[in-house]
Parts: sequence; C-alpha cells; structure tokens
Amino acid sequence: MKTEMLAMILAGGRGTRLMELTEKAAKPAVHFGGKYRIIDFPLSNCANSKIRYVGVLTQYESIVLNSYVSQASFWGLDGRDKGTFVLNPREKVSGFSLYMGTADAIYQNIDFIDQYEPEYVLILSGDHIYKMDYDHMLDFHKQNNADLTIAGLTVTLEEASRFGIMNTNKDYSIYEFEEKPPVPKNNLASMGIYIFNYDVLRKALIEDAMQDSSHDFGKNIIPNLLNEGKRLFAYPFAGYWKDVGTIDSLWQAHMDLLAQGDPLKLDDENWKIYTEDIPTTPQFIGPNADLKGSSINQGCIVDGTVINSVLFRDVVVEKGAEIINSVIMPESVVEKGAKIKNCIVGEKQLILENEVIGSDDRIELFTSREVK
Amino acid sequence: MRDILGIVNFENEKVRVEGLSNFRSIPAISFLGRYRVIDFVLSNMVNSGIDHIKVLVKDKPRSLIEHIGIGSHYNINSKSGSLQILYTDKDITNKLYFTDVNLLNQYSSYIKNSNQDYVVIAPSYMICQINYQDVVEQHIKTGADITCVYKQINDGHKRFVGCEEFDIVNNRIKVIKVSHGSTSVKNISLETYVMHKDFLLDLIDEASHQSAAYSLTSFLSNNDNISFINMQGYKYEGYLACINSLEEYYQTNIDLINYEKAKELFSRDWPVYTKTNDSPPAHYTSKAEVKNCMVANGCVVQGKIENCILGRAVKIKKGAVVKNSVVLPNAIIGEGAVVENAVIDKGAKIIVNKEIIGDEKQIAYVRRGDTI
Repeated sequence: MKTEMLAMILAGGRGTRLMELTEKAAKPAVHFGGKYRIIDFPLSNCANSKIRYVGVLTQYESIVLNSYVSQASFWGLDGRDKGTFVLNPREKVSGFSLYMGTADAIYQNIDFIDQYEPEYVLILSGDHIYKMDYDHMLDFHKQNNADLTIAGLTVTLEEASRFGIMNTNKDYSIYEFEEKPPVPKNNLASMGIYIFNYDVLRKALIEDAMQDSSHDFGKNIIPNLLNEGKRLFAYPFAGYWKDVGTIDSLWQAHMDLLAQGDPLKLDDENWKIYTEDIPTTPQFIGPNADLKGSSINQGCIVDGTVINSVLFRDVVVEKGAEIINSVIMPESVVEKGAKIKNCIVGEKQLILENEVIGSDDRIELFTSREVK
Repeated sequence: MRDILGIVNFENEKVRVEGLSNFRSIPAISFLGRYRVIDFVLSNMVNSGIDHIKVLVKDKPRSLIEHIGIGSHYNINSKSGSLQILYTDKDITNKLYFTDVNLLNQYSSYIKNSNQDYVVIAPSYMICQINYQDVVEQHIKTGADITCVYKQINDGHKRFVGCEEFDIVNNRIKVIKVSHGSTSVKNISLETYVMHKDFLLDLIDEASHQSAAYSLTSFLSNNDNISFINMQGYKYEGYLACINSLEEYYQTNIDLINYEKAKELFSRDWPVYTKTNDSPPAHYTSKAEVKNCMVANGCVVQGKIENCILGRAVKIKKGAVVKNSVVLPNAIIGEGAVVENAVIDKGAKIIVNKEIIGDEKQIAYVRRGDTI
C-alpha cells in the first residue's frame, strides 16, 4: 500500500457561474473539448505522471461525478497497486460534517491518506484544463528540499488580483503569499497545485482544524507555513492552463482548441487525455456538409454547415443547418435549416427546424429543450 | 435468454484480401475507420447475451490478440465471462491440415467442459447484425441437428462470389456449393451454425475420421454427409457483406459511407464495440472540404476528401485530394497528393509520388508503412 506520492483532487465545488450546466452535476463533470470531462485532465495527468493512488473529494451534486471517477480503468488507473477513490463527506463518531473548505476536505480524509504512508501529497483542483508532469514538479520539490511547492503561472497584472499571488526570490523560494490581492506586487499566480511533505501537511491540517479559520489552503495553511519559516517554492509552469469557470471562459477555451496548433496538444501520443469510452456509431459526413475549422467527435451525423465549432459525441446536424463559433454537447440534435451562432448548447438538446439561436454580441447557453 | 457458447471461426483458405491480409489475419483488418473486422461478430455475440466466446485463430495472431485482449471492451464480464483464444502452431506450415475441425478437435475438451448446451459458430468476415438468440430459438423449435443462417440475395452475379450457397427445400438445406456468380438470386450462407454442443463434438470427431483435411463447411458440403444431417436454414433479412477479397473489402467500406445504408448495420440499441485509442475528435481546418465521408477520431483534414473512409489519426495535408478511397489508421496523404479509388494501408505515407490512382476494376493498393 505504501506509495511515494498520493494525489488528492478537490472536486466538490459547483461552479455556479456555469449556470444550468452544473445544475445536475458538479463542475469537474462538465463536458470539455469534444469528448472529455474537465476532471479527465487532472486524472490523466496523474496517470501519465505514474501516480498510482488518486483520492477524489466530491460534495456538490456528486452522482454523475462519483460514478464517473470510480471507473479507474478509464484512465488506466486500475490495477492491483492503483486506484481512484471517491471521498464524499461522511458520518463519523464526531457527527456528520460537510467539507467546510479546501483544507478541511483534506483534513477529514487524513485516515485515507495515512493508509498509503506517502512521503508527499499532491493536491489538485478537479476543474482546471492543462497538461502537467507532476513527476517533474516532484523532482523540483526534492531538489529544493522544500516543504511545500506550489505550481505557478504567469498571468497579466490585471488578472493577478483574481488569484493567490506568490512573491518569490530569484531561486523561486516564496517569501510572501497573498490571496487575491487588490494591488498585486507580482504576476506569478498559484494554480492550486501543491506538493506537500506529508508530515508537514498533516501537522498543519490538524492545527488548522482546531482554529477558527476558513480552512482554506490559500488563506490559512500557506500563510501559516510561511510564518513558521517553512521552505515554500514556486514551480514555474509555462503551458496552457485554463480555469473554465464561466460560460464565456468555457466557450473561449473551446475556441482556443480550434486555433492554429491546438495549445493543449490533445493529439500528443505521449501524453494522452483519457476519458470514458462510449460505444457510438462512426462519424458520418453527408453530401451537403461544409466543415471548416471544427472538431467533431465520433457518432456525429453531419449534413449541414459547421464552422469554427466543436461537436461532441452523437450530435446530429441536419441538411441546411448552420453552426458557427459554437459548442454542441453530446446527443444534441440540430434540425434542418436551424442556425446557431456563438452558443454553448447543452447535452441532449433539440434545436428545431429553422430555429435561430445566438447573437453577435454575447455568448449564450442553450439548455431549455431536451430531446424527447 | 439462453446461455450459449460462441465460437468465432476463421475463414477458409480461399479467402484472401489481396495485400491487406499479407500483414494480418482477416479478423484483424481495419474496417470502416475505427473498427476491425472481428468487432462485428464479437459485438453480435455479446449483444445476443453470449458471455463465453472462443476465437479460433489461424495465423498471424499478434495484431488480433492485441486488439481483442481479454474482451472487457466488448463488455465481456471480467470474472464470470471469458474470451478465449484457440490457437496452435501445430500443422501451421502445412495448410492442408490447418482446418477449423482439427483446431476444434485439439481443444475439444474445452468445448466439452463448457457449461453451455448450445453453440453458435460464426466467422468474422461476414459483416451483419444478427441476434443469435433468435437462431437458437428456431433451432430448438424445429429440432434440427444444425441450423445454418443464410440470406437470399439478388446481386449474386457480382457480390459474394466464392461464398457458399444453399439449395433449400422446405427449409431443409439439401446442397451446399460454392457460388461462382452465375446467377443473381441465391441463398448465401453466413457460415453461421447453431447446434447442440454434443452434436458439434460428434461432428468434428466424425469429420476428422473421414478426412484429416476436412473443414466444417467442406464436411457439410459433402452430399453423403448432408443427407444424414437435418440441416435447417434460418433466413436472415438484415445487412450482409462478405470481406473475402480486396474488391469486396473496398466496396463494402464505400457502400457504408451512405448513412441510410449504414443504418442497417448500426443502431444505438445494438452497439458495435471496439478498442478505444483515446484519440481526440477529428479536426477539420479552415481549408478542409469534406463530402460523403466516414471519419475516425484523431484525423486531421486540411485538404479535400470525398467518398472516403478515414481510419484513426489519418492526416490529409494541405492541397491533397482524396476520392473514393479507404485510408487505414495513421496513414499520411502529403501536401498536394491526389488519391483516387485506392486502399492506403496503415501508416503509409504518400509524400513522394503524389499520384495514386486506381479505377473501379483495379483498386490501387499501397502497402502498410510504405513511403511512396
């Protein structure tokens, strides 16, 4: 059971700004990129980084997410010495308590972590889109003899006040951590990816649990460790990273995928993003189709125009229909002559014959008519 | 639902798909972009509630074994079900002796010891959508020794040449002979046999006593044998194709690009399972022109394709024009290349001689992995 580094993915949040998309399923379960769910990214990163045990902490509307995450074979995380483990809030001797913050969620699962006697614990967020080799980050952590390493992304100064900002020395050691500073001194943002020495984390969580605190890594745990004089380092990350927290950013991330030279490199054979394999029919492109700058998944039947758009599995686009700058989620049907522009159409939606949705000035979400 | 033992038979010696089968056995040939030929018979068995399947393997077992594995992607239960490969290298160099009867005889104890009473034997190169439960029900009702599935066709002068055909009187099969394409209307055998397990064991025992070189079909085709066996026909009305030559392979692929035709083979309540490759959705760039195609995931289309089947991760570069062709996985059609009426085998690259043009009588074939 012993493992060097155990991963814990925080996947409990709703993602309220994703509106109806997260009404029935938490944000990590939201569809992304034509065939994936958001949580496929951290889970595939774990699998590709040779991490063997992954705990997934879920809370908000977790039926879809729990049943999904428990299928470890989707990511090759099945095997005698591997696994994914769903960790929902549960009743204990002390009573029942929801997860009251990111740190509290991990604190409530100390018993789970203890089973694996890890030297290091990797803490991730279940709702970010990126590719990262956590093993490289662990090397960096070890080289610096760090207690905590935080992955950091250079953002614009305007964006910086939405993030936890790390003020570092030349060697990337952190001397100050400011959670969402109104006037940022720096633009190196925390990506919410942490590698802790487990003994340090365990002690910090237990101490935090006794205090009146927000039980949050950014607000409490990290500043406390800095005050104690622990060795904190920032691990600079240079690739594509996106928090798809709003309809606009979810749409934009899909447009990024379609841009020249997909920044996520989804077709990289050496770092595949794994996902559920749902049997579908092949993809049929009909005699009247016109496809430009689009990504189309298997099972789609397309006889209309699709420009600069992403179609998920089993979407039907009938003759004369036109889809521009849009994202159409699985099993939706776009009938003859319908026109869709600048939209995200949810799962199993029906767009009627000659119906026109979307406009030039904003991104719309369509979830109001299910396929019967 | 009855518990049935499924046996996937190999094709007889006459069946050769010129070029393609030099590299792998027919069941392992890539078909319709994302499938292998064997996926159809295995999916038919699994969808018919058959959870114990034995696959007879003739030669070149590597790619087939790699593809079917332990069968979990076909939904075969990993504990209570089984997908067993029956393979031998005995007699492999002497094709005369390498028959299904001899292979079944060698493994007869495996059949004898199985828990199922009834056996369905079907080859993989007959592409169809059939529920074997219905065949077994009819078999039990009629009290036949063997029930054999056939389809009445009306294009026998050009298709199914070399297949077995039946003369049927009052539903009893009287004569089995090879179809030479002289008449249009005929009863084509799907070489799919249902019988009691004990009858099969007696049959292979008797066949091998009569001739050490008998196959199941050649034994049954002998008029003396058939007169002693109550062999009944089961009339199949659905889609049927036979992959027994390069021309049939090519034509079957091209025919199924038509979605109305393909609906006879694919339906959502009868999924065709295959091994996933975790490829991203197919991507069409802003210069792509696509009409009447079936495209697998992982493809990137920058050029023009018309009436084509593209296997997984095929790349069609800028300015390339591909018409009426079947392109197998990982092939690259280079910039400005012109490909018509061709089968481009797996991983081939058309980057030097940029014109590959066949015609309907003589399909062009580019070998696996070749750079042309």
